Amino acid sequence: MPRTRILTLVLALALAAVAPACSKKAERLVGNEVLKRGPGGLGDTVREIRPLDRDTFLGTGTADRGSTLLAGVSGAYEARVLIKPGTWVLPDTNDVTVVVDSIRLELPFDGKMSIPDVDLLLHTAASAWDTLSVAWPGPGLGASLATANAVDANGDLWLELGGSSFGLVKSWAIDPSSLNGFVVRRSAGSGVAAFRAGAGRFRIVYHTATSTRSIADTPFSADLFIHTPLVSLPTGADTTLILGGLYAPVVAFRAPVDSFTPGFSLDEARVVFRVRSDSPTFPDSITVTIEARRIQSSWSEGAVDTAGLNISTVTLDRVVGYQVRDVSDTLLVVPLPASLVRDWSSGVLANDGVVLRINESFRAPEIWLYSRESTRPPEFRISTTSPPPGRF
Amino acid sequence: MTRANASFAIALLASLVAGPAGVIGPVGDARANSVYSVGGLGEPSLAEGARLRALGGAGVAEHGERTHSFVNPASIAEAEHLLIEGTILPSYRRLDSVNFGKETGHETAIPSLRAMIRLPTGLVLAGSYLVGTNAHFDILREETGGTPSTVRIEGRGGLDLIRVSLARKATPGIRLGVDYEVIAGSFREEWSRDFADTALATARDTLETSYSRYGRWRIGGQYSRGSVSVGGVYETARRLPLTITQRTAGTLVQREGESLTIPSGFTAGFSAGLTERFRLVGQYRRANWDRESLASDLVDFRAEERYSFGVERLRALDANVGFLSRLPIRVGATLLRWPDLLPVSGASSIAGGTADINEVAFSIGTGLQSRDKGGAIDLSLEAGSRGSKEDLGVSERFVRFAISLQVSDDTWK
Repeated sequence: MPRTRILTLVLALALAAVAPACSKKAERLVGNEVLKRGPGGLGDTVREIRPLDRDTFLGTGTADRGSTLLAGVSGAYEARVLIKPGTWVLPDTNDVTVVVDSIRLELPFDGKMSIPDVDLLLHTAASAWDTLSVAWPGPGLGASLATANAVDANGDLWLELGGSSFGLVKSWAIDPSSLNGFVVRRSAGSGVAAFRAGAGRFRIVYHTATSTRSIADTPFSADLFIHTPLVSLPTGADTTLILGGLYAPVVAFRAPVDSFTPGFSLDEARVVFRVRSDSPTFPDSITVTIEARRIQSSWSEGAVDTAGLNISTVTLDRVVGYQVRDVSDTLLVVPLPASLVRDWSSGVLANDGVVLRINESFRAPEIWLYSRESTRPPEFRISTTSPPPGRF
Repeated sequence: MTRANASFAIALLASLVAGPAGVIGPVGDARANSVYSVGGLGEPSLAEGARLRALGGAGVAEHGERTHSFVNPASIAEAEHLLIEGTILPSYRRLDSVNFGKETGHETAIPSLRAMIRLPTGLVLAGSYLVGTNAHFDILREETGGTPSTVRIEGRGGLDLIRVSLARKATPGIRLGVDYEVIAGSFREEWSRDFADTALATARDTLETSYSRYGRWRIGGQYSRGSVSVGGVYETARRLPLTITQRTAGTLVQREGESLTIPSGFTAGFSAGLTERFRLVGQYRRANWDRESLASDLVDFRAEERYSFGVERLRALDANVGFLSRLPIRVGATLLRWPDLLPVSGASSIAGGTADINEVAFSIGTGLQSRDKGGAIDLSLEAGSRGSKEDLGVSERFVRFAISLQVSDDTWK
């Protein structure tokens, strides 16, 4: 092979080998010598720990329209289930051979809470009530129809009205306005039982000349539970903030945010609460998810409940799997979204603060946090970096 | 296709495909450049291929069927073929600084790509990509004041030039050409600040200086008589409105109303045959940068000047001579006076004084041509230094190895 051809091939291979061998490390450090970007430096990071300028805990009302129904008593707390049946489904009333064997209210347990040893009593409601506006103590109690012990239930809780009540049920079916719904309340024992909302029913079990066992189920058109209000209302100057538990209070706070240099980086924005040393501890298996939501209306520490706060339905951030195990130096760290802090800083959104809430908080004990009026107040930790200087 | 020509084709494809930027992405990451690219417009790039780099870059009077220069559009007027040329430029650098020690690095660049074709009317049409300035740099910096952090800065971009050229022989001795040159590219920096405290999220910023992609004209001519040729080029100025953007998570700050003016300039030079096999080339190139080109506290400008000289011993055409005699030998020297005037060592802006950057390089090169003259490989080796450690706090020495590949339609015949 001619030498020129060999040389050409060698050069071609060398070229292919050299081409990808790119590095760019020559001025990694030395380049600092000529990194001149004006007297302002390359951007400063400022870390600040600020106090909250507002905090309190707030009641959330006494009606819960969630996916769980509570009935029972725990200390000063009492919960009652309110039910409105749908259109009654009855056996064929023209069939003279119909024999009603059983009429009962069936409430399936929610399966996530232990079943307490508590007697529950089914009443008719003595007065009309509205699902949207009902509050503790709810409608008066009418006739007592049935009772059962929760812990004795085999499967769902059955509140047996008895076959002899069929005439009463027929009268409700004929004239629905004669019925204001039902109330399930504790009559004896202690503890709170939890049921799945939307899953209960009235069941009529009967037989006829041609069938040995037939069923007519009437689902609910509405069910919810109401509970007693907070025992001690917030004053705005409490040294303890109560979050979660049976009463489901939320914690509202406001962290002051300054106006920063346009283009700044937000490196940290979080609120750190300290758990009181006497706060109840969680059972091993219990954790909660704490949600942060934006408050969209101004409020004062004199507020006692969330009415008027206009809390956003959008969750800003979540603290997942939280539990209070060891109360010494336990913290609750709530990160605030950078976008929200930016909007507060720029004035795009009014800074009316954030509310912390726990979904289905009745599953876990209350969390007691030190407030800003306490000796260990919450801290708002915010770190920002000013933008780097431009090239020219 | 002969085996030698196949080798040329393979070499070109391999280099462009395996190369750092590839054929379709010449504005890629890998570029040879200078530590002084941290500020100002970046390193002024020499677009010429290895043949003219070996002659110090003096190509304004260059002409011929397969010899042409990027500096003068008239130089392509005698092209007879479809011709494609690309250059790859591995570079090795040694840096010495006052406060940050010494470093060595290497990069690879693609300074230019060109394709041209002769049209039936006697016109020659060419399209080119060239690196105008190279603002590529990487910096690592430990910040200990305030909250400790490690700052990484990746600078990319610079001025890129995209040219369409048209040239024609006016008379047997006069060639005329014109370029329409679009100034493309942008200056982009990625800043990231990692904190020692893991509670702090990394701060990331993007700084981008972009400009309207306007074009300007470059007009060139050549005159040849015997073995002597002279050439000249005039470049028009172009004002480019700037948009300066800073982005970080969740916010964007944009500044407009400033401008970068690419200045007018000219180039003049000659090529003179001394003997049958020796010729001398020389060139002076000037771009009239000044304080008005770009308003900045961090860089001032002076006229950019490049002086280039070279001597070439042409290849022997006699088939009976030895292999070495059939190789051309080229030597050259160049002095480049950068337009950027950067803050002197210890100053944070030009208010504290400025220092210039002068670059001196010596070069040597050779080349091979396929037997059918359809393809060529040219090589050059350049060594030089730039900048002053006393004035700028850091000096730089460099070695560059350029490889240019040229293929024409003869290659596939």
